[in-house]
Amino acid sequence: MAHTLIFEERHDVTSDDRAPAETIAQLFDAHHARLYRLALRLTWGDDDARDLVQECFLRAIEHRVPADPEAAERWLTRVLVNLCRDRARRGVVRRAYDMTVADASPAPVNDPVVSAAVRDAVLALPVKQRAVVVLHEIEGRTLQEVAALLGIAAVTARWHLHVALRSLRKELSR
Amino acid sequence: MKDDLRDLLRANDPARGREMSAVERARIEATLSAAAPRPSRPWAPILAMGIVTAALLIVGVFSIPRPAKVQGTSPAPAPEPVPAVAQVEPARSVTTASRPSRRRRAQARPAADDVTSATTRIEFTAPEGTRILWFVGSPDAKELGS
Repeated sequence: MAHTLIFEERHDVTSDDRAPAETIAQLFDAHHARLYRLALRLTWGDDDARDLVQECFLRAIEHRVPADPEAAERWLTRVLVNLCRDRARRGVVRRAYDMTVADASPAPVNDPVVSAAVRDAVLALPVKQRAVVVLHEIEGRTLQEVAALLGIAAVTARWHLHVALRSLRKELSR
Repeated sequence: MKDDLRDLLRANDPARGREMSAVERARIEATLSAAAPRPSRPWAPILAMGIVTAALLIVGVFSIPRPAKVQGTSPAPAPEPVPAVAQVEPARSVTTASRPSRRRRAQARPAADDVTSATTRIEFTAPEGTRILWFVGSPDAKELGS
């Protein structure tokens, strides 16, 4: 009988490494609105957006957030996108094994002009490409800013944008 | 074509005009406040203990009674100058008193009966004179004086 040993690498966070409550409160006041809008554009769901924002700041408690405001903005944006990607992966697995699970990203009901086609096309994109499209096309940031926010090279951001726009055109032209 | 797609995306922006409600914001803030650690001050109990110890020491020092000072005492006389030539004193002979033996100590100790016994004094008056008899702790009369 074969035994398999699984070693799990854990990073225990001590109380000294955790950000104090005052720092988290300041971070929340400064960034929660922007992160909430970004989460809404990434997930198209109000509940998911709130959960992502809360989870993002809970991660900020467990880790050291840079003191510089711009660095903190980049750190929080990156964590939010990564959390959204993890959630999307879990959603994919869940849908693969349980087809009765409802769509985790419903469209906001208070927006009467939302197009189901646009929503489905955007949600069909990988999260990284979705984030590039949202930050560049909707929020109007430059590709350099998008690359800095996501922690990728500008060339990679341009490539993600190119592939994403091509997929969106293909989906919306049907 | 690209601008048309951008306009379409912005027209269907799910976050347009959306803000997090005050209730949800308060709920998340409460969750974060409960999860975030409070600043710890490990030096506070040490400081408090030090202050209490210092106060106890001060109270203890001032509670000790000081000896009363003698008023009007003359200052101690100045020591005499040491002669230039040191005088060599002869060595003293050391005498040791031996402890008396147990028997001697028993004899020197007063008898307990003499101390506690009752004494009776009988005085006889006769023409030839007065005679006093003392009975000290024994039935036999003992003439102690007259």
